Amino acid sequence: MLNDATGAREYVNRIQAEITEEAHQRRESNPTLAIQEREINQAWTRSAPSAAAVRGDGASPAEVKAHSEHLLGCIDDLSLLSVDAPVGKRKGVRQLKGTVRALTRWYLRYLADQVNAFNHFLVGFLRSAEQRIARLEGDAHAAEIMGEFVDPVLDADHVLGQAVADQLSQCDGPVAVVSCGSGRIVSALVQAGITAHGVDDSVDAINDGVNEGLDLRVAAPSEHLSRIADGSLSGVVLTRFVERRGPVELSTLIDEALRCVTPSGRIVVAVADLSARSGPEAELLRGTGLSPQTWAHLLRKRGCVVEVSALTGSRVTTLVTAQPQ
Amino acid sequence: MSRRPVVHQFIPSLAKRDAVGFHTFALDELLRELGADSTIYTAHINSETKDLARHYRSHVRDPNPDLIVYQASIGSPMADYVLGRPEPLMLNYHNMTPPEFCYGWDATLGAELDLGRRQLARLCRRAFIAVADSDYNARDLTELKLKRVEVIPVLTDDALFPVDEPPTPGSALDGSALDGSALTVLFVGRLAPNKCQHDLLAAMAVVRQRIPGAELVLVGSSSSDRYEQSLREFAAELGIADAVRFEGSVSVSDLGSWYRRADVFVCLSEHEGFCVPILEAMAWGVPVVAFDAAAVPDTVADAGVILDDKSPAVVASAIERVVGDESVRRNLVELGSARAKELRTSVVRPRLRDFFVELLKSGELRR
Repeated sequence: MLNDATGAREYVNRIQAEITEEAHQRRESNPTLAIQEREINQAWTRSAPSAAAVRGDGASPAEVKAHSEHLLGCIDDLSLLSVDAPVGKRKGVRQLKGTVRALTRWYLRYLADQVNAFNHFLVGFLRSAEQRIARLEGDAHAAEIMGEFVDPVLDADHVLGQAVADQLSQCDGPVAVVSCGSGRIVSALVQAGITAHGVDDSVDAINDGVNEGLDLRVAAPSEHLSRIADGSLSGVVLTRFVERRGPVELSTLIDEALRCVTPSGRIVVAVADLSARSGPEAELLRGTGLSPQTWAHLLRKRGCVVEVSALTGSRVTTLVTAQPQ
Repeated sequence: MSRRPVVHQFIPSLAKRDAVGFHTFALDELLRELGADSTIYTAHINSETKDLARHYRSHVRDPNPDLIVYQASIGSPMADYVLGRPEPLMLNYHNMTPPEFCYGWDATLGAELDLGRRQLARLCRRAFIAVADSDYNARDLTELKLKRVEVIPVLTDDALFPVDEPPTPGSALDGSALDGSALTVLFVGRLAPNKCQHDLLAAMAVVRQRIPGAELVLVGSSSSDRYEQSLREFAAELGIADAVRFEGSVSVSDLGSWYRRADVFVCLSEHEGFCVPILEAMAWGVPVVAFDAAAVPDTVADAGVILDDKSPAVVASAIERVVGDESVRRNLVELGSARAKELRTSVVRPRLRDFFVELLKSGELRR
């Protein structure tokens, strides 16, 4: 069959027809294929310079050339100065003008190419900016859902709960644990005979503690404290704010905590060792949090007497305890 | 005793590995073999060619030739010099990429090609005879009113072809590629808009869904940084960046290795004057799938699958059919091998030799 040219041609033609039919059938049986092809073309249009994307908009190179010639013709028509006036038919002059016209057209085309090059750069720049913004948005969203992956301070161990309870042992009024998570610190305080409640902005985080019967509430931390009357708390415990909150919210939170506690009350900040993060925390958390020294500085600036104590045997390595003056 | 005929070849840009460059060197050798005093002139001399060619500006001081052969493939100020010479002019035409392919990517290259097209019209008015690589190229010249056009394929570099019978190619001889194991799709050619490597990427995005292990290998240097950058961005956007290898220019031995590794050679170019890599693939026993454009069907000549539609689904179907159907693959390899033999230098060179024997002894040359 393949021994002569005719046989080879018939064979190849048949294979070609079968391939085309196969592609047709695939498109029919899989509608997403046609959508994917369209998306691929659109993707190429985004990658190619505007004047070169001859597939995405359906124009062939010949059509692009025709469009370009048409555009140049329009520019010729719009020109205030006709190259044929006033001596258009004079021999020699006409040739010269023809040359001028050719040069003008070449220059216009060159100009159009430069505009295309600029457009390409601009589109590329905007695309890059869009990608960076999208990444930032993604990061912001990641911070919101971080609690699903990481709970660095919140799910505190026994050592931390007991240490916080010790710091607040003199408190005779209620204590609020801000960003309480599943409520282990609240539990430790309650076991130490202290009236305590917790607040967290994640309903999932507090779920286990609520099921254990702890007084845990869902609210934005600053907003929760803002609803508490002046001097009505004996103590405020801050946990995950070290990790998550921006400077404005931190500042507001400290001010609110100071307003809520009695003059003899305490503010306790559980600070993780910033240099000892590992695993998912190191990979997922953005920012470095605040060091104990920074916390102490922020509280002293607000007139507190601050005590920094080291803690061993816990992931939280430092307690910063502040008493308003 | 009559003196030796003097033939000067002019080529805008000369490189040993380039198809037109190799052809020029091979023709130089053939002319010397015929007893002619042959010299190559070029517009760009580099360390690779400084002992093999002379700069065309020095030509004015050299003895007048009996024949000038102009290797036409791009615009060059050299063409204007040649047009001003009084000697008989022969064109060896390898085609020129239409400038509209390049204007959006590289305005300078587009302008050179535009210039080349306009110079070609003048060269056709000035030349008395031409050799074109393919029927497609010959049509260009006859449309420009050049009456005597001979079609003789380009001389190819034997070093790029296997020494003996085609080796066993690729990893998919038993159709196992369709099970998801490695499949290598190869294209060899400069990264250039007219060669449409972006269409190969588009097809690979579809192929990869059915054959996750498929890879695309693009061998060839870049003729446009912007095009290469866009290709890389496109591959990333399609999610196949890890499946596309941009190998750049490779050594002859590495090229042979790629042909040995390839399961299918796919050419989706929209403009080719001849496309020597198609022949190389056929000689290495790699089945060919190509898009029906320019001189490609002339070169393939019923020895490969020619597609009139290169939408990703069609190209993907063609690749899968050629790789997965052992009977089709075997037949295409057989047809390709025969076609490659038809266009080997050992076959083409005698035709070119006969042509020049007649030309050099004709009364049309200046003696």
